[in-house]
Amino acid sequence: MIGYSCKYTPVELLAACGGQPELLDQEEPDFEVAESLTHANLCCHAKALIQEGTRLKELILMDCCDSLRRSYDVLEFTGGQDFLHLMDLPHEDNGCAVQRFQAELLHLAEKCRKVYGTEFSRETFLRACRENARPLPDGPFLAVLGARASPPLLDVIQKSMALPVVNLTCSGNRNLEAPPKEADSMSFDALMEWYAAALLRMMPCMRMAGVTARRSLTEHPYLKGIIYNTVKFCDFYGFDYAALKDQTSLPILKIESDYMPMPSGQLSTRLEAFAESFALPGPAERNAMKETVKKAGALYAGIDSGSTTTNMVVINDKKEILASAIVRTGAKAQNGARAALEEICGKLNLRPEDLTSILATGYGRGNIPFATGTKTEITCHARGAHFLNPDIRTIVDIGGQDSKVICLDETGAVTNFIMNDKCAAGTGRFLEMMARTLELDLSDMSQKGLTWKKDLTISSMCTVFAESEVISLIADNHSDNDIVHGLNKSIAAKTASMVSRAKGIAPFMMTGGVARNLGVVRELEARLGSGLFITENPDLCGALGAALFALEES
Amino acid sequence: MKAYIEALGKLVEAQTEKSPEAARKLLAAAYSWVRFSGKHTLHRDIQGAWERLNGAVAGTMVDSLVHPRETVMVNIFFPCEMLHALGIQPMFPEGMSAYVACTACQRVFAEKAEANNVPESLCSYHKTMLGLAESGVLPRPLMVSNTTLACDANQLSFRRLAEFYEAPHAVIDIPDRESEDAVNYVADQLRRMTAQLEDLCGRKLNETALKERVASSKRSIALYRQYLKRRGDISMISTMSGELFSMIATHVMLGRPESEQYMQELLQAAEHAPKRNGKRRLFWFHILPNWQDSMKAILETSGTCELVGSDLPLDYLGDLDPERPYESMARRVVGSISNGSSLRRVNTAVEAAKALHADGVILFCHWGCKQTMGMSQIAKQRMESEGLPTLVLDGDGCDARNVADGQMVTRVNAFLEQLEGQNA
Repeated sequence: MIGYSCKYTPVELLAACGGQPELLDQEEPDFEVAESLTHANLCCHAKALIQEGTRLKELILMDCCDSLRRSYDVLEFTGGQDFLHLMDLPHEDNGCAVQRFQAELLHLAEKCRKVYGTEFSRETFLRACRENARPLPDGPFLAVLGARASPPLLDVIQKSMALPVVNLTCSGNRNLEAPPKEADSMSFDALMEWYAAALLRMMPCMRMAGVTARRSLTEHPYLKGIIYNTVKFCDFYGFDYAALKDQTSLPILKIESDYMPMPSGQLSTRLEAFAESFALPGPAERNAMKETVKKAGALYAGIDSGSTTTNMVVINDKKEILASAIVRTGAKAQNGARAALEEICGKLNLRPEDLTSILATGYGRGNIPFATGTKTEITCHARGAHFLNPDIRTIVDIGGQDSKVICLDETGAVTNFIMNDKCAAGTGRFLEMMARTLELDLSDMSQKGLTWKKDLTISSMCTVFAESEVISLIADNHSDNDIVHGLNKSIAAKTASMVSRAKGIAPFMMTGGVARNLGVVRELEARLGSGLFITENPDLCGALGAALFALEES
Repeated sequence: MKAYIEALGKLVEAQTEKSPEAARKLLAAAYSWVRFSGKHTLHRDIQGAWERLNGAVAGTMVDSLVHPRETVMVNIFFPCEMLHALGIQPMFPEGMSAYVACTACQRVFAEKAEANNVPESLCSYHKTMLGLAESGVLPRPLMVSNTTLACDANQLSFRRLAEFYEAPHAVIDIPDRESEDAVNYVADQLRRMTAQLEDLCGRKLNETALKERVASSKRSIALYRQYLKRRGDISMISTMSGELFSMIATHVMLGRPESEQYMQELLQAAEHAPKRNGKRRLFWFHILPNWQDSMKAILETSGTCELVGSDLPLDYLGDLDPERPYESMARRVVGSISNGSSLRRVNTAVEAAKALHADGVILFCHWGCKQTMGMSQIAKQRMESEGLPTLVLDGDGCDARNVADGQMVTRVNAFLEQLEGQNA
């Protein structure tokens, strides 16, 4: 077996020369070996490939990006392979580039002949070329675009979606054109010239000089939506996404993966919210739903199981809020949920079975045994916010470990949303860590940043580095007020940048625990150039939305 | 950083949001002053050489801001002799981003780019340049052109810049392997790009002028080789900016009289310098964070160490043939130590560090540079096997947000203590 990584790899030629090419696309449990051989901030696919490469005897890589070029260097330096080859892939597809690539193919064929001791099989080559044409579905489908996605990730995506999902990422859309009629009688050199041109004419990946053909990926009549994958520390597809989202009217969800087993919570929240956006009822259906007669006196609950707190709201069939609870989640989601339920039952003097339905949302929504249904916090926040203030067009939600920006239309439907990635910068956890460093409690943090004298800037985006920066500022005798103001600015900058990326517009609403922090609120208002609508209990918006869904869906 | 520069930076940042034109004028005024100061410096030593070249580079920034249609946006590895012969200024992200970082206003541009979905993990020089363009501060140039050498960021940011400005874009594809075919392939592309440039600027390139520019490049490289030969035996004042000036003089400014004069002055300073002293001699690998006060305090003013050289100015020190200007420019990029295998660049650095009698090497992993990060452990192993202790230092050449300042200070100081211990 000869491992390869890039779709431009001449797999048909390798097969015809006695090799058994196999795409290397597996996740790794950790990157310990790769990071000892290179650097932590290298593209995660490259790190996974280095680790797998150290276990393989045969490997062919293309000079396709900086990370894979260096992966080849690392594997060559460490040794251990019987067959390790790097091909020089042109960036252009013009005549000169075809000639250069043809020479590379001829060189590879010669090397294979020596290593495998078998002659080139034209029959195997042409059969492999013909088999590689894969038509797209002839019915509605969703596409995964962007950077390569591991098989487990593709599996999770497919399981979350009702429509078939097609892999059109940089390693998935390998549609080689069919060989010419005269291929049987062409000289080997001429055949390799056609092959070089055909490989360079495939749907271009982002490293090629001309990428305009990529736009046809989104013009298929049956394509209904796009899940856009980016890989941590691979820059190519962030650029493609930025251009694509302005050019297509299709629903599009951006995710980030890192070639390690994904923590299920955040990914499934995004995928489910995306799937829900397809199934959301239109305005007419929504109005009809409002007319539905509800059971008299029935009670409906929403429970939002977050990383820091678990929040619960109970409403009646007139959508009046009867009681709410905010408790610490603790180590297990279900314990926090039970505590919230007990508090609610105590307040309303009722038993859990008196609640007609309980809809769960938030990270822990799948682990609440007494919930009668679940929905993501994206959809629930939108519902809650629209109920509280129908004018709201953008929600900024900063919770314990998540920050989100959710854009709504005039009916309250989600039009776009983005979330922070695996990074605590700009979240409630960030503030908690900084409060601990400053030896303040969170209510002090809320006030301290309001009266500052020196305009300090915390430059690090990373929570860990920001903590060392705060320690240095403390050592330099800067006041708590000035440091807290610097931290508030840092969170506001990060959040405003998310709003801008999501194309969020006023009126804005802020939800989540951090909305209680006046210093952050003031800085964010200044950055956005607009006031923030904040309710008395900003933590309860998601739970309220869940309760409203419980009512509407019962 | 000086208080008046910080005040200027804050003003530029504030104006970028309100009035990009006003921010542009402020930057143009600041860099005009740098150009004037460089031109009229009273220093006659190495400080004077740096200031004069700084003035010339600042001039390219001023023209980019004030006369953008006389400017071509290029990457640092782009061979620019035809631009110089046509009287067109090169404007390069590595320079512009470093200048705005030293003007304390880089953050607003990086944030602007990230808000427009530029990945956070992109090289900060390119990200800052994109922010400068997309904020409206940096106006549309005559043309955008880049080589695929030395990194992927060129392919991404220059294409996006060309699309943003709706400006003509030429890519020079650089083969990974060095050969005469590769040189001819690149030379042909440079000829086509020059023809496109002639059409755009409405001027015909004078072949004799181009040959003279390449002849000047040849002389500058020869002078730099002489300087390097002398540098191993002497001790000189050194700065991070100084090494960056040498990098610029051997890249985009190569072929211009200012570059040749800089090399002459560098050599003169080396000829008058004293013999090696007891300071720790450091060789730097990759770009230098010349904006960072804490690093300046250790490397430039502490009196404990001296930067004896860096690898980027060594990119191509071979011979050139002025009679075949396009092939000479092509040979320089194809033969660049940054092209091809990591070991090509690492081995050049090892040889240079030894010839310069370096006590140790600092390998700087600039944020987002996959090439350098990817080779960092190979380089460390290779250098240490040659008796050169090596520190892999994470940082950022222009964006403070990606830097753990205190951690960097500890690492560099500990490395100097390690070298001190080894030499005791």
